[in-house]
Amino acid sequence: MKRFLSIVAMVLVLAVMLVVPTMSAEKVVVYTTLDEPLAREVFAAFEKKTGIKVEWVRLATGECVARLEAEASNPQASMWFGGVGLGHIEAANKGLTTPYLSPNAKNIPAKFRDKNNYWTGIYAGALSFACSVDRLKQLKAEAPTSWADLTKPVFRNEIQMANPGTSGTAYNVIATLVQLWGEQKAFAYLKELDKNIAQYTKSGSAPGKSAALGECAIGIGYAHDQVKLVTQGYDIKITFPSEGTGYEVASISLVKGGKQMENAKKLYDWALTAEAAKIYASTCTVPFVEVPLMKGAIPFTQVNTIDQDDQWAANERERLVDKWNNQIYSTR
Amino acid sequence: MAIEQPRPRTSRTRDTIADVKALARDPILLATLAAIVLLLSVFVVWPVWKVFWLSIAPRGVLSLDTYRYIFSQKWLTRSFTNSLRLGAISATTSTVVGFIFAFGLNRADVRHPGFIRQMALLPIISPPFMFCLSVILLFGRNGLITRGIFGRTNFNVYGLWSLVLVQTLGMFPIAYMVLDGVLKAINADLEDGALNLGASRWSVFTTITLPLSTPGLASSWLLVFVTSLADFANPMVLAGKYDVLSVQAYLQFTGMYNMPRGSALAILLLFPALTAFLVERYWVSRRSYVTVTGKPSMHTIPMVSRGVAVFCEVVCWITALATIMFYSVVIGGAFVKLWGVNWTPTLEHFKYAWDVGSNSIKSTVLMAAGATPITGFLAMIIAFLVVRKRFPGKGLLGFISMLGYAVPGTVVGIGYILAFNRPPLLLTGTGLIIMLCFVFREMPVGIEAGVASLQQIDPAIEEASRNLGASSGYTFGHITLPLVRPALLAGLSYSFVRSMTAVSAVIFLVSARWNHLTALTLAQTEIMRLGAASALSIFLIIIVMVAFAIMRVLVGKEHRPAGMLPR
Repeated sequence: MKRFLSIVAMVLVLAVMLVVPTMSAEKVVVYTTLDEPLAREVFAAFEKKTGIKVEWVRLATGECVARLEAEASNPQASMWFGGVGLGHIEAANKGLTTPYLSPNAKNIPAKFRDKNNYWTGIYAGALSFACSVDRLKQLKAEAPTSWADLTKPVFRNEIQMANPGTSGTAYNVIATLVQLWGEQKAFAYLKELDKNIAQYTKSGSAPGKSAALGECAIGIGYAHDQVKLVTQGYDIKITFPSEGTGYEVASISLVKGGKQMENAKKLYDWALTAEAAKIYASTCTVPFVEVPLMKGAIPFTQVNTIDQDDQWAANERERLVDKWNNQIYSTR
Repeated sequence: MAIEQPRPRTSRTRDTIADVKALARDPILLATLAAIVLLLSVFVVWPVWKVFWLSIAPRGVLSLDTYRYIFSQKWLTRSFTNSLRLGAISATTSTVVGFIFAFGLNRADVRHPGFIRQMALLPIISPPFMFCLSVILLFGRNGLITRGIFGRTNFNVYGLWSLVLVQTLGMFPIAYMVLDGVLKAINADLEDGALNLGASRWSVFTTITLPLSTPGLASSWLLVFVTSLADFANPMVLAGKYDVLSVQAYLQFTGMYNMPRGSALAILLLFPALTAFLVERYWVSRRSYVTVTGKPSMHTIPMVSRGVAVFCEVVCWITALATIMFYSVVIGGAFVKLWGVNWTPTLEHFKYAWDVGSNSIKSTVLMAAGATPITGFLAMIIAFLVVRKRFPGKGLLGFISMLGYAVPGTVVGIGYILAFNRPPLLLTGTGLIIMLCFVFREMPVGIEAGVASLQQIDPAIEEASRNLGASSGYTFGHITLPLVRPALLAGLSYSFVRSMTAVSAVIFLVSARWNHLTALTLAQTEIMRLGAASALSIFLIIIVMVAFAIMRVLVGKEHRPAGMLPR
């Protein structure tokens, strides 16, 4: 019994330690969707420059919106850094973020920031095909260079894309096709494409990873995610559809009711400078502020991108996804 | 011994009044009960209620639209039946494998028992996602075994049967832990006596060992069933077309930004869990399983024929080899540059993992170490109350303690934010909220193990202690706890491991100061830094091993002949 009592006592001491808040003079709490190593570098650079400590937690886009929503009555973070633009629009629609016009926003083309200043883009990534070189060799097929190529019979059960109901990346595919061809033709195409899909993965970055592991011939995803796989040493080839492709706008927003707004604004301003953009570029992304790109990164100008309307895409999301679920996914 | 022993039937109200009177006479019991009810209400019921409320009142007004939508969507109803099917199959296979391990170790005298016992516990240490990743790396289209050895490049590794495989491998330890405690506690005299009287081994097994293990078998089936329903890491990676509800719930939160719908899907998972729980309690509570009566007992006659022993050994070894195979991928992955592409040996992943993870590792260990003793102790108290004491609302208490375990982690995480994000209980951003989440989420395994072994211990031992003047607190600490040591140890080990490997709830609760190792591992697998993820997993495995050793020393030796009282 004594032993248990002493254990209980130890635990209580520990518990007290756990609740005592950590004291820090200047800080800002940030949720980030940047990849772990990139986040580390970006925030370290900001800390070094300003002396403001960035306390960051890495969350996927959806997790971040869910967490911001659950915490809305008493927000823990002051800023959301990185993450898919559609997520930022969703957060703004839910009233979770607050507008801020940064003096540095002029560095960013108007197309890539919110006209009401709720969010600002920092870098872009186009939708692309990650092709497993080895797997293509086995199939004796060329890497696809158009949406139409994907429906070739040779790719039967060889393509992975994420489930649009669960992944912003895959929804971007649907939105792109609808904006490109109109709804009817787009869904007819998706039905055709469905025959070649080996599986609809849950997360948006999974198809590219599957291609890297040789699990499928083609994974549909964002180019900057796929370039990272190449730099890690995986043997994949990245191609873009010639008909035109959609893209994501990684963005930043200020959280409504955040506790360190002044510092968050400083971070927001700094995030839109060339200094920060150079760090984004170091991981093969394509920042909107023009900085020299990494070897292997694919400049936006070389890709045929569509004139994308994210606000429209956000509004239509529920309807299009339901339609996809009922017409295509349920019939598998 | 009485296996069938119908309860005397009396009027319910009279029972209740008598119960209340008895309660009033025992202030320690009353205070304990009050404290537990309070804790469970605040840390289990309140967060789950918050989430439930979200699903029935999406905009603050009562509305069943969310549920109506769910039942009108074929892809969602299909996920529901899929979840049930997967849960039932995994629960059955895990219980069978767990029983064979426990039986082999306690009755069939398998060779190398130390090793087999380690192998029965090893799989629970598997970090989430890593096990499935190993499955793909070994058995995928480009897998080391499927393609490398058999030259098959079209093997489909995704789907129900892969899930059953990984869930069985990952969850049979739960069944083993519960059943190990149960088999240890069955008084060997019964079996020996029957054998001496000329019963065949088979009839001893079917009429004594198996019936006496019923509470344990039912408990472990229930636990695995519920674990499988709430499991999301495995189906997330391996399900392929086989959609299950826990994943759909997570994805409604994070993919569709639809909190009410995600909550509703998760709440639906509670119904099968509740049903299984009620069936188990009803079925088990109608019988008596008392065999530990305070007299020492030792096996004198081998229980099984050589053939059965060999069969147990074969099953144990196959399972152990499968476990080792999957682990070697994780371990191997940490020592090569890039699995599958560049096999150059390297130690750089460990350096990177330590640079990135040392702080998270420290806080993870601190939180898990803090949560574990509370979990184990609380679990034993609840198990004791549920089995030994009579008080109104007992069934409800048992069920509520299961609740935190039965809902998918995503919901627990979101519920905890919703419930503890404002004064008086402003806990978000602290380490305490994660600890509390661990305690109330992982307690049920300890409770089930405790219930199963307490049901076999004759209350007369405790009564004797109280008749001799000991208080109920003293009796619990000096008589009951030592008797349920194996169960306590099982509860502690399991809750520690789960606290170290938890992912779905924790992802919503971590903060910069209190980050969690698995959140970090997950982030590494997201960007396919498999080497770093593997290295982090190895750190995790080492920590858990050390913790197991420490716990064994703290709790005391478990190899005491069943029923012998500690001196």
